[in-house]
Amino acid sequence: MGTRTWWNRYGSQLALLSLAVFTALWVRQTQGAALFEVYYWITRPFQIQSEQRLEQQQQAESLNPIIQGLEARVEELEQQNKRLGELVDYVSTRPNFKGVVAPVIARSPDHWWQQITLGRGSQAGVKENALVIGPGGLVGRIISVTPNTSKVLLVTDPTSRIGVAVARSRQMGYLQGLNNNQGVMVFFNTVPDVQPGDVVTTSVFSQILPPGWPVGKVVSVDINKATGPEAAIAFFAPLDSLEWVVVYQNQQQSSALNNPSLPE
Amino acid sequence: MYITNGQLLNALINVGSAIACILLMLVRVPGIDMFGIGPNWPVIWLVAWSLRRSLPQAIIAGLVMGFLSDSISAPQPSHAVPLVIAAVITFVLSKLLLKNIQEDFISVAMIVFGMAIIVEMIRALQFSQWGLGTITNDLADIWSDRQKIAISSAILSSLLAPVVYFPLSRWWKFHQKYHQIPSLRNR
Repeated sequence: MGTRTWWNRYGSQLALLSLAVFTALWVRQTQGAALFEVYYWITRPFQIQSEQRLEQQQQAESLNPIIQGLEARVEELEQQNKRLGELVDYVSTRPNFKGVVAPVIARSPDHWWQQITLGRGSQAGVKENALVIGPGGLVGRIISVTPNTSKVLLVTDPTSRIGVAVARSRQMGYLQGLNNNQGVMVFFNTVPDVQPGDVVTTSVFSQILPPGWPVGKVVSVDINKATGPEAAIAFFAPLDSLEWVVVYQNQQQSSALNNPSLPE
Repeated sequence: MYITNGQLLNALINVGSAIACILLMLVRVPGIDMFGIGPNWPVIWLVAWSLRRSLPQAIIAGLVMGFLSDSISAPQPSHAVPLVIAAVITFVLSKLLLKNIQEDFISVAMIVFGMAIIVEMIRALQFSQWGLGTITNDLADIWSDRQKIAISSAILSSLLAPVVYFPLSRWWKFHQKYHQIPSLRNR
């Protein structure tokens, strides 16, 4: 009497509730792939076409003579670098990159400095661990991909550590995010050669990111900190107001991709 | 056991509103944020659900919303822990208080306020245990940050709770009255 009527009364409810829990667990395992796809299709009419944005940005920039002058200098320096490299038989590990322009479609206020969601996914050629570059410098890397969206771990996330180097003195260290628009660079030396105003780029020792990408500028240096010398870095890319980014394929091969406890 | 149109519609509305609350966490609606923090939509939905449900249903809803919140942000530390605790407390409150007080906006808003604060406090405990106090973020910084997040999230959630609670509560009352199969009504 007891078991039969109990099952008849509560069986369907129990089945529905277990279904709900297992579906939610599965969604969690896939890191919300289904949810992000639904979000992408719902917000698709509201997305600015990123190609339009890129054109507008390019037009605005081309009207600025200072930027034009700097671009000319950069091109000249790149040419010089290439010729010098050829002289010493140095083979560049940076092939011609073609990037995917992606709009930022979701950014939760609770994780403002930690993750953003882009509106391009595996169908556009975005892969995991791809580089994400914003207007000015490094923004982060891709951590998960769905057919039409992808999730980016920003450099300002506290769990993000990037191997970087000071461009002028080649001093190495790693850069950690602090949940605001500045990061902290921790050095491997006790007396590092670094000054406010120095430019910081991804370093050759970084095992996940390719070297040479600009990251930010040193704002202040604290040599006497108990845990080791540190520098506050202001990022070049406007991480607070990102609207579109470019995703580049990551050519770094490393076993560190499987070992998350090492600095990147 | 066949499924009626009413039951199907109820299931769709439940699932749809839950997913809508999760997806709302991804956007920053202009005008509804304080110091850069938005309302905690899953908590609002959870309170609306748990106020008129049995304990197992409340716990399961907490688990489901927790796992879905995990899936759109970071899975560790899990959102399921604070949301299940909030669902249980809401259920206890509903049994204690709502026999005497009628279910109106003010009491629901206050319950949502309390639950949002509790959820953020448990998140702060989870973060401090999980060791985000590494190089420069020591424990005091985490706590003061989390306090600010807790207060703004609680205020906004309690202000926006009627937006979610009112339509859902109306629908559930309607569904109970007109769509329940008589032999299954007394569960």
